[in-house]
Amino acid sequence: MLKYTLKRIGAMVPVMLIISVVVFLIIYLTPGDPASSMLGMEASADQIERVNDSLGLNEPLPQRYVEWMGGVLTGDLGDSYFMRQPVTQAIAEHFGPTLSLALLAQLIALLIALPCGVVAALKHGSRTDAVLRVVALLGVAIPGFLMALMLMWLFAVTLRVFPVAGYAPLSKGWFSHLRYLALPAISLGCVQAALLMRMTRASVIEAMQLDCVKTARAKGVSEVRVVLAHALRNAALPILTSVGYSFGALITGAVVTEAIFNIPGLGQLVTSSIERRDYPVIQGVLLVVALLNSVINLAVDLAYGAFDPRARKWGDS
Amino acid sequence: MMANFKKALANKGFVVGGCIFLAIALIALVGPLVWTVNPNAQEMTLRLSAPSPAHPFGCDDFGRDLLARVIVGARVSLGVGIAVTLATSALGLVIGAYACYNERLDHILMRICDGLMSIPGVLLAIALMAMMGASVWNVIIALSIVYTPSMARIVRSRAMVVKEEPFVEALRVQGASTARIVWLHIVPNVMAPFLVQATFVFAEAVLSEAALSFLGLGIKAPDASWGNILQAGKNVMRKAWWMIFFPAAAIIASVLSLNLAGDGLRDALDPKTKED
Repeated sequence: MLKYTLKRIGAMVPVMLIISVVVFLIIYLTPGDPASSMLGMEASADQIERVNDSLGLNEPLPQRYVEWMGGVLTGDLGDSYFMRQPVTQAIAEHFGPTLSLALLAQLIALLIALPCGVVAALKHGSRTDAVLRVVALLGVAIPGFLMALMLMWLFAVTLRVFPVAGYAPLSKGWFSHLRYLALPAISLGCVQAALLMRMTRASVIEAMQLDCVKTARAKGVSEVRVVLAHALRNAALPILTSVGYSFGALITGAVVTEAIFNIPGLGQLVTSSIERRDYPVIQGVLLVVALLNSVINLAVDLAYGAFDPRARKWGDS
Repeated sequence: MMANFKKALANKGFVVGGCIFLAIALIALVGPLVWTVNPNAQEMTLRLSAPSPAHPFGCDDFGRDLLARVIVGARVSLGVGIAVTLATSALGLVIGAYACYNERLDHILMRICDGLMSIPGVLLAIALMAMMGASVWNVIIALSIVYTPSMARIVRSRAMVVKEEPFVEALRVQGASTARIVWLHIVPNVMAPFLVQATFVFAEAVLSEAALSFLGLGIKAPDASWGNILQAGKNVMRKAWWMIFFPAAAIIASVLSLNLAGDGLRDALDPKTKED
């Protein structure tokens, strides 16, 4: 297990290095320099040159990468051009709403996906299964932002049950926090639920064929116990894995959903930074999200390896 | 290949999905010839007018005919989808098939794929669009960069298996060149997972284009796209449900039909991954 863990962590280093180069290059290759957008249209060439100099934009590429990377490794992502604050601080300030949204969406997804997936699996081939499959297919086909628009139209504009847009931090109390997050989280969670439900259904069907399930039945264990204690337990691992892997999809969804509901999270930070050509912020968010994503995937893989020795063979072939 | 095609045609999902999709593609292709209203002609007196016989889908916030705009939007969305699928397929095949032939190259390419894949797709697309500026071509380039790694990985994992088969070994012993083995023997054998993935890339590309245009980073007004009609529709949601309803229905219909076809294709060609 230790060998597997080290190997897995070792494999992450080159990946992170590549992410850093990609993220760095994306911004480097961007046309339109930040100096002229900071100074406005009337800036003289001389002024622009001075700002470029002070931002270190005139140095050769490899040197800029090494300097930037040196900062990154010590937890310094640079300063925002626009907000006059460190990027790490800006990210920290915008992280909460995104995390709240993602967790709530994941919770909603699980609450929908687990029961539906198990029912579909136990009755697979039946009409209930067919209906659930069509619903899941619809859920995958409806992008989060469309779901968001439809929910907004129905619940906020027509029925006026929820606020149209905005955000209330947790400090203003649970109720208003959840009230503002409800529609965005449901729209994000539904898409997620569709994916998880398919996964749950497939793994429960597979688990029901296992020998231990047959043995339990033969012993006369009740059907409820067979499903809960034997089948679900075996199906839990692939389900948990897809929950972990789906983090990337959730963050992506959150970026767009935040823009619709005007939630001051990471997504809004990125979209507003693009308009301001605030490169360090875009770089920082991309890097942090990619890192988080990799770490979560690593944790999922390690957990999988810990529970299922067969998975540890990774990389031995 | 023919046998595969017959197997796919026996699958209900593939046939239904494929037919719906072909119908949408047909509308995109001949729609502008039948419904000849100019999608960019503004008529301020018709601003936000509800669906009527003269304007079956109603008019938008500039008094433009929505039906004409949704049809033109279909051309943009499906065009982007086709272009991204072609680019991703070509790159994915070349990278995936050749990667398994050179361990060093494989290592480098796969780490790059891992790196790109660990940045969530739309976020990467957003950053790329911010860098290149909003235009149809840039949407195609950005989305191709986003979807190529997963395609290359799928091709590679299948190619790795095929490469070890005795017939490939035999070919090599007989002195067949790498190019010959790759293109005449490995590529035909990776077709099943490749085609399935291509259908999903198409669906994803349509969705992502809509999301990018919705955020104002994709196709810019006055050119119509499903995403930017929705963007305009969001602001007038209270007064004009049709500005959300029609483009949304178009997006859902095309993505649903592609997913249906992709699922059917997978069940037909790849019995191992069949869901039940």
